Amino acid sequence: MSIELSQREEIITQIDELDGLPAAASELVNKINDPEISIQDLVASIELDAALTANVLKWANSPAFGGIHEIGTIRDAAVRLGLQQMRQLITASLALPIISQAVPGYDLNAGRLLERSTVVAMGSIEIAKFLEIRIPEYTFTAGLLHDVGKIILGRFVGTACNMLIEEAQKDGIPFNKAEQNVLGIDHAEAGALLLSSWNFPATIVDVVRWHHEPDLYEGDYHTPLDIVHITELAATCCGLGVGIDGVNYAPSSMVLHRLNISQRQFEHCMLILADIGNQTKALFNAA
Amino acid sequence: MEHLVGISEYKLTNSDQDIMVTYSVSSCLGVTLFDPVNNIGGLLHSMLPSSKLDPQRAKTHPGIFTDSGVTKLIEMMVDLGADASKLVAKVAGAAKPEGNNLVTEISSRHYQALNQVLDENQIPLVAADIGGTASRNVYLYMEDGKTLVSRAGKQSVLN
Repeated sequence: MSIELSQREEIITQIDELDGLPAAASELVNKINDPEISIQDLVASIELDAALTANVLKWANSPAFGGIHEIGTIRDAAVRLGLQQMRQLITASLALPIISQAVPGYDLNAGRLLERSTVVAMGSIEIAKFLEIRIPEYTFTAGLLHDVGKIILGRFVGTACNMLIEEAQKDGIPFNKAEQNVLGIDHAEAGALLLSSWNFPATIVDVVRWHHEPDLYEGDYHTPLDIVHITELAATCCGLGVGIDGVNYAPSSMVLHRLNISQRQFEHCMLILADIGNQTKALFNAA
Repeated sequence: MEHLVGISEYKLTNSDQDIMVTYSVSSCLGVTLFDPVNNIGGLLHSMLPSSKLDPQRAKTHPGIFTDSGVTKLIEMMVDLGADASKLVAKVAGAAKPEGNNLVTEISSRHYQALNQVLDENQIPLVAADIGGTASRNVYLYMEDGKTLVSRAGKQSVLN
């Protein structure tokens, strides 16, 4: 079932036509993902951009980053948080204007996608710790941007909303499959295409692309993909940033097996996310 | 006045002007309790079924769990003047994806936990809208005790 054959092409064209990240932001993405970068270099890059500085300070002073004493400058933030958290902070700040917008096609008011994205980003780190699994730093970024494709598809879901809901209500059809059937592309693929066009590293793009279908990923074993998959599932169960897609996504039995996660551990993961959701509530409401 | 009940929260009121609402009930439960004689109502949005997962946390935040949340809500409604024998319960939520997995297990146990605590308190569950894959919003209208559920843009009264 499809609205018209060119729907997929139309969506991909829109991704290509979207304004890319500003040049300075693109450069920062490269710096964040450069393992050799120094914290001084990062600080200098942020201080060149007043809007980014404001967003970084907003995040730095939020409970999401453990802010107790007010951080007034980027240099203070760097000293207080260190290189790893500064990378996360900058990524979050770059993403803030994009993921804090409303996505009416998915019935997500302003701030709800941000809520979900933040909880999955921070939750991925905490859940990996809880499960005693080592993950690379970029898992935070992958978690933060996992649903960015909804912003693209949201523009099309509006006109196809009823068809999409109808398709997704058929027995056994997960919402991402319904997106594929109705729109010719799902939000995971749309997000991956968007991030590729912004020159994000393939490791992050792969997590975004396969977060609902990790079993179809053909590369080497990818711990961040498993962690983001299970974290998003737990966030959905908690009801954090859930829209018209509801809980209609298939959990991967392969991921559950690889992570060896018990029912009790999964429910503890939900408690971890609920705590993060509470800590960051003020940030979402202010976004 | 509209009162927003967040995830893992519960609220109660005795004002017939009030509307209680909770959003994004996914695999969670939205439970309404209403005493039509004394006009006292409450709404709980519980995230997990059983307080056995974390008894300490259930003491400080009973609304997280269905068993401790419903028990606490009943207690507080009685403190406010409700007659426990007049209470009626309605429930919506417990959405789950297809198949047998961690999520379907939570949804099923939510419903079991609710039935158990209602049975213990001899409160009838008079209406339920559970299962499926859609997230729901649940409203309790205090003027007549009506529980309204909206999902995927469609609204229905729980009878």
